[in-house]
This record gives sequence, structure tokens and C-alpha cells, in this order.
Amino acid sequence: MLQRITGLGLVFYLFVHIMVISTALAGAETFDDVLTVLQLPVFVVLDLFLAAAVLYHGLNGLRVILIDLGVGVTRQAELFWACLVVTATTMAFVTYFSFPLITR
Amino acid sequence: MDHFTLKVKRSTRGQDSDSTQAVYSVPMVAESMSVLDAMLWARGNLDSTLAFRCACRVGMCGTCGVRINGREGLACRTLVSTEIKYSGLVINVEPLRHLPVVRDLVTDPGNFYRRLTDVIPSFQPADLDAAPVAIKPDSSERLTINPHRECIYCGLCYSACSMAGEDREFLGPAAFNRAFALVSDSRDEAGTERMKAVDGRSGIWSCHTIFECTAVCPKGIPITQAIQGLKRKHFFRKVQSLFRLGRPS
Amino acid sequence: MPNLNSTQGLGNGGFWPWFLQRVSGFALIFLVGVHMWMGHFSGLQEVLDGRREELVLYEVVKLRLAQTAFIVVDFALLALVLYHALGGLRSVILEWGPAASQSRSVTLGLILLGIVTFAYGSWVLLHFILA
Repeated sequence: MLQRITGLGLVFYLFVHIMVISTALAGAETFDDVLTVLQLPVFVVLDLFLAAAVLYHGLNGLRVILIDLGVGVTRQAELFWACLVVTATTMAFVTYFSFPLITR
Repeated sequence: MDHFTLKVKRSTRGQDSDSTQAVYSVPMVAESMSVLDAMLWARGNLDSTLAFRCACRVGMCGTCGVRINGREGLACRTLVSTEIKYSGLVINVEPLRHLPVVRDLVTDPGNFYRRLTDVIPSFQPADLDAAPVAIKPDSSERLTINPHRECIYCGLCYSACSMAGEDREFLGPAAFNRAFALVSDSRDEAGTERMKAVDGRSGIWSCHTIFECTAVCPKGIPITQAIQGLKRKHFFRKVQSLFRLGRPS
Repeated sequence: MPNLNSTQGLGNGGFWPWFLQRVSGFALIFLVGVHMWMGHFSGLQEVLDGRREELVLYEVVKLRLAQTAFIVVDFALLALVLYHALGGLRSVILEWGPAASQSRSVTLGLILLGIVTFAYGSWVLLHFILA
């Protein structure tokens, strides 16, 4: 279910992302203006949520592939929690390293 | 004697609009009292109009499948004491899902059986004149099939499966489990037809490995593994047909 | 009669969508990883030191896309992420949305959306490459 929710969120983000990058068609200055705004602290925080979603979706996706290959089927519930834990710990690290970007 | 509360969802002809919840106060007559015992006590002493199915009372026939405190289970194999430990002194009983309700806890299993017949659930011997085929009890084939032969067709897996809820045409875990057991049998010859039957949108590809079926199976059958086995068999057939450059698999 | 209604579009039955979703997903782990690294980490130290204004700027992207490897990565990323995303969306719509009878139109609609978006995205990429 979380795979679906993160997936839907990421699809939405995908189209937003493409629209944002397409501002380059209006010229280098417009692009730079838009992107400077999008690298403000509040957006860095939002970016962290995006990274968490990507990380979880990818890890759980790997888990699905493992189950499809017949690996770890009996431990599949534990693998799910492992995905959440890895996502959480990695995000903790990433947030730590991103702090200067938020506080500047 | 300690009492607990048995709540049963009641309805006539499955009309959700007039479904009610009957509340019975039942004494705990023994430590080993099962939910089925509780229902029989309620029916015998309080309300003889309560409708439910049961037969063997020992978890062999699969007739008494219901939902107890939101989870599928056989009423005869679910102990009241266990339910009380996890959910308190109230036991909620509802009919199985994804099947039309006839009355109270009795459902019409027609669709469940129809989906089973879709996969040719009976053994189709390959060559009747050949010498008896011996599959040794410790062979990998036999060991693979063994857990999947335990199915008592109780329908708990079908009720628990979210995909069966989305699509009434969905073949369902029990059908897939049976298909897998027979397709893996080297003496059977209907494998190709069964693989075709489980292909498609209402087939194995709609299974998202949520594992609800495996979690509720009273016989401990690794149902999801059977479905994954079918998917893998499909994969290998595709690969084989690719190498045979288009010859039908 | 078994439901042989192969309403899942591409290929007979649901094998190919199932299979390709996993293949594309696996490939995307690497492609998205590289993309996020380039967009958020490479050059981070320069920004923190004040030697560079922002991580992502027009010139930065243009420089990156001057290298063939990244051109390949970005086009592959665009194609695969659109396939995987719209494939996943299709599953969700077909299961949570309207009846099976409309599955053909849903699939065709999503394919169309994918093609249009890929064309648009490619146009933007080319803009950086050829400018």
C-alpha cells in the first residue's frame, strides 16, 4: 500500500519536475530564477521528503523483485520493516548533511 | 462462570441495509471453548434463528469459515480464550467477504467454486497405458507439491485477498494454489491449459504479493509461494518460446 | 469458461506489464541514483564553501549534458521513468477505478500521455544539448 502511495506521489512529482525543467525553454535567466527559488530552504526540506519517498519505493521495489525470484519469501514481513528502517536511517544521514543548505 | 460477549452480524439475503448486530452474553464453559462452540451455545440457548455453517468441528472440512474480530478463521479452530487475550471480552463475528451472503454468517460459495473450475482442478492423467509413474516421496517434485495438497477449500484465503475484493472475476488464491499443485505434477497433462487459464488480468498477474492469503490459511499452505511459482513458470515458458523463435510454448 | 480476456494491452495476458515493471524498476534504481547524485550532491561542497551560488543552474546542466554519458543516462531515465510511472499508474487505475470494459481506453490514454511527455522532455533535453 505504501508502495502505491509513494508511487502515486512520485508520478505527480515527475510531471511537476518535467514542467519545472522545461522553463529552460524560456531562456537561461528564467531557468536560473526558477531554480534559485526552488533551492530555498523550504524546498530543500520538501526535497528531503521526495528523497525518502524515492528511497522507500526503490527499496520495497527490490523486496518485491526478491519475492518474485523466490528469495526471502518466508521472511517477507521482516524485509518490509527492514526497508522502512533503512529508509529512515539513510534519511537521517542525508538530512544531517543537508542541514547547511537549510540553515544558510 | 466468566461470560464474554459474542457479537454476530446478521442479515437476510445479504441486504447490507438491514444488517444488524446481535449481541449475546455467552458463558466460558471450558478453557478449550471455540468460537463455533460459542455460536452453538448462543443458538441453542438464546436464539435459535442464528444461521451459520459447520460440520466436522475439528478443522478438517473447511465449512465454518468466518471473520472473527476482523480476521478470517475457522470458527471451530479459533479459541475464545485466544481471542479474549488479543481483543478483550468482545468477539465480533462476520461472514466471509467477496461472496454473496445468504443469511447471517452463511455465504454462497458459488463464485469461489466457479473460479476453481476455471483452472481444471482435477488431475488429468497423461498417458493411461504407460507403466505406473512413480514419484518418490523424497523427490524434489513431491516435496514441492506436498504443502499445496493440504487445501480444504474453506475459502478463507479468497475472503482475505484484497484483489478478490477488487475483481469478482479474480481466480483467487485457492484456485492458483490448486493450479500450481497440478501443473507441478509430472504425471498430469493439462498443464498448458491451466497456465493459459491463470494468465490474464483476472489471473496471477493481479496478485501483488500482499500475503493476506498465506497469513489466514488454516492449513499453513504457502499460497503466495504457489502463485509466485506460477509466475516463474510463465517466465521460463516465455524465455523458452523466445529461443524456439516463435514456436508456441 | 476461464477468463481469457487479455485486457492488459501489450502482450498476451499480464506477463509483459508485470515483467517490464520490474526490469524498468531495477534499472531506475541506478539511473535515479545517478540523477539525484548529480542534482543534489555533486558540487555540494562548492556551494557550502560559497564558491558556487547554487547546486543547479542553467550552465551547470548544460555542462553536464555536453558529456555523451549523461546524454545517454538522461534520455534512458526519461524513457524508463515514464514507462514505469505510467505502468504503475495504469495498475492503480485499473484496480481502483472504473470497470474492466474501459481498460483499453485507459491503456491507450496513458500510452498517449507517455509519448507526448517523452517528446516534450526530449525537446527540453535537446535544448540544453544543442544550445
